[in-house]
Amino acid sequence: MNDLWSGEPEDEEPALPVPGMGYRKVYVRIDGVSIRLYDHPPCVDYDESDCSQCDFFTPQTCRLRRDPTLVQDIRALFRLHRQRLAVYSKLRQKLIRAMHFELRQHGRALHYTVVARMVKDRYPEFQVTAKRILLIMAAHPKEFEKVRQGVYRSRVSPRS
Amino acid sequence: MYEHLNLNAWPFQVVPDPQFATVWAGRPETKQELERLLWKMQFAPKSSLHLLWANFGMGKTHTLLHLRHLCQHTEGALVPVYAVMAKRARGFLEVYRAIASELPYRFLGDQLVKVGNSYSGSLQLHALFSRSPGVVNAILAIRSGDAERGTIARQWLLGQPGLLARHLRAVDVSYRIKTPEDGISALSVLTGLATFGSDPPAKLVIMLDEYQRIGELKPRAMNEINASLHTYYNEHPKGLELILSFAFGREENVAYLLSDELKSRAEPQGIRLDVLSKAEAMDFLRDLLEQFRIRDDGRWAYPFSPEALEVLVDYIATRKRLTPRRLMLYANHVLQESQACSDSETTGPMTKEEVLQHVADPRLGQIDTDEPGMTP
Repeated sequence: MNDLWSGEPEDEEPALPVPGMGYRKVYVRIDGVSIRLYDHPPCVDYDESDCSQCDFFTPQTCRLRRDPTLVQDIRALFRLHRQRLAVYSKLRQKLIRAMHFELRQHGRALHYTVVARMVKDRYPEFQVTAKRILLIMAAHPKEFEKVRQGVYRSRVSPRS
Repeated sequence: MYEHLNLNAWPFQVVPDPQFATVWAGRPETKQELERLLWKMQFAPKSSLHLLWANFGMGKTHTLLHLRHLCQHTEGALVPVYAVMAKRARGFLEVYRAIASELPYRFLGDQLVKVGNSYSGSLQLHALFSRSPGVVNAILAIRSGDAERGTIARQWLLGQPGLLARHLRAVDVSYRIKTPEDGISALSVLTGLATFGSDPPAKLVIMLDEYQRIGELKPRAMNEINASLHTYYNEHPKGLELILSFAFGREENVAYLLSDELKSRAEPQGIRLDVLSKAEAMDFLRDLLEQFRIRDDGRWAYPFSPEALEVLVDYIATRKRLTPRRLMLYANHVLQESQACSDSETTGPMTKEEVLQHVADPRLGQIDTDEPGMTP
């Protein structure tokens, strides 16, 4: 990559990369360009890549080319975020199973606020809010059948 | 009458039937609990709140109807009212309507006469009616025998919308029952009237079936209903028995459907109806058939043989949960099929081979599945 490097323009103040991280997105802004977990230059994933094909930076001014440690930092940040996502996803699966179990045990449709109270009491480790319970049930129609607005029941077939 | 079956009526009912409510089969502990409850309600004048939880198909409604039947035989000491919780109540007014529509208005009319005889002034001014004086004229209109006025009065008492000013004038009332507070006031007045001046003191027993439906309501409606019931209950420290019934798979969930105030007022010992064991199922069928027997010929299981009933119970138990409803459903099917296949002159009991033959139909019970999560 270095043979294409033309050096930093003298009149340009080097801008510090600005990282941001949340549950849903992680990004690093370099020279006004956002590099995201699922949308980033190939050099973040592979040591060898064709910089001329890069959609993000021009090879002549690319800070990732100039500073390989920056690439390492971004990789580490993304790896950390993937781990967080995996943990979060596992926790969410556990929460869905818990909600499902409660609704199956109850055997009747319930308003999401009642399900939330049950889950809060019986599984305090999830620290759920009623709104989150609603969003999860709405997002998993295979598991939760919407009876009417805000009211759901387990869709699992008997004896399964 | 089924003379050849030695049965005075068809014993297998799947849907709760008020006429069938006189019958109690199996569950000796529950029967004992009901009798004890009946005694307690008559023994102490204080009001109480009871909770009845039942698993699916365990005979909750039949239990309430049976309790109503028992209350009806207390010589007026207990005035039972069986009401079903509205499916999609938006507030207490729907609950009020469900209760008010089942009140015994003929009896309330007689009670009104009793109040009138003991009071010299205008009835509307009696302290009993101060919270909802319109109730007096409405009951008088029902009692008058005038069909039109009676219907309007009933509509008014039930808080139904659509009554015009001229309707109100016809019944001589000046306001409508349209808020939860109006409903509580009217219900309080009606409760006071139902229990007025009886010796020994009478009690109004309100059985509210399917109360678990409150769990499907928005928090605002749920809170309003629970708070209104709590207010109504508090207004009657004596003379009221409130029974709330719940049907779902987990008894502990009752706590999530009641307000703290109601929970703290509920009697510590509720009534519960859970899945039957095989022995309980056999006792249930034995008791049931016994109650329809024309004469005792020593064959307790007739028109089945004892082995046939055992096979039937085993057959259900290996596939599904044993519930009174399911036992009735299968026994009904087997007995009907057997009768359809044989001539009416046959007097021998049904054998286990016959039972197995009749239940072998793969379509039988295909759609009768256990409620989700209720697998044994």
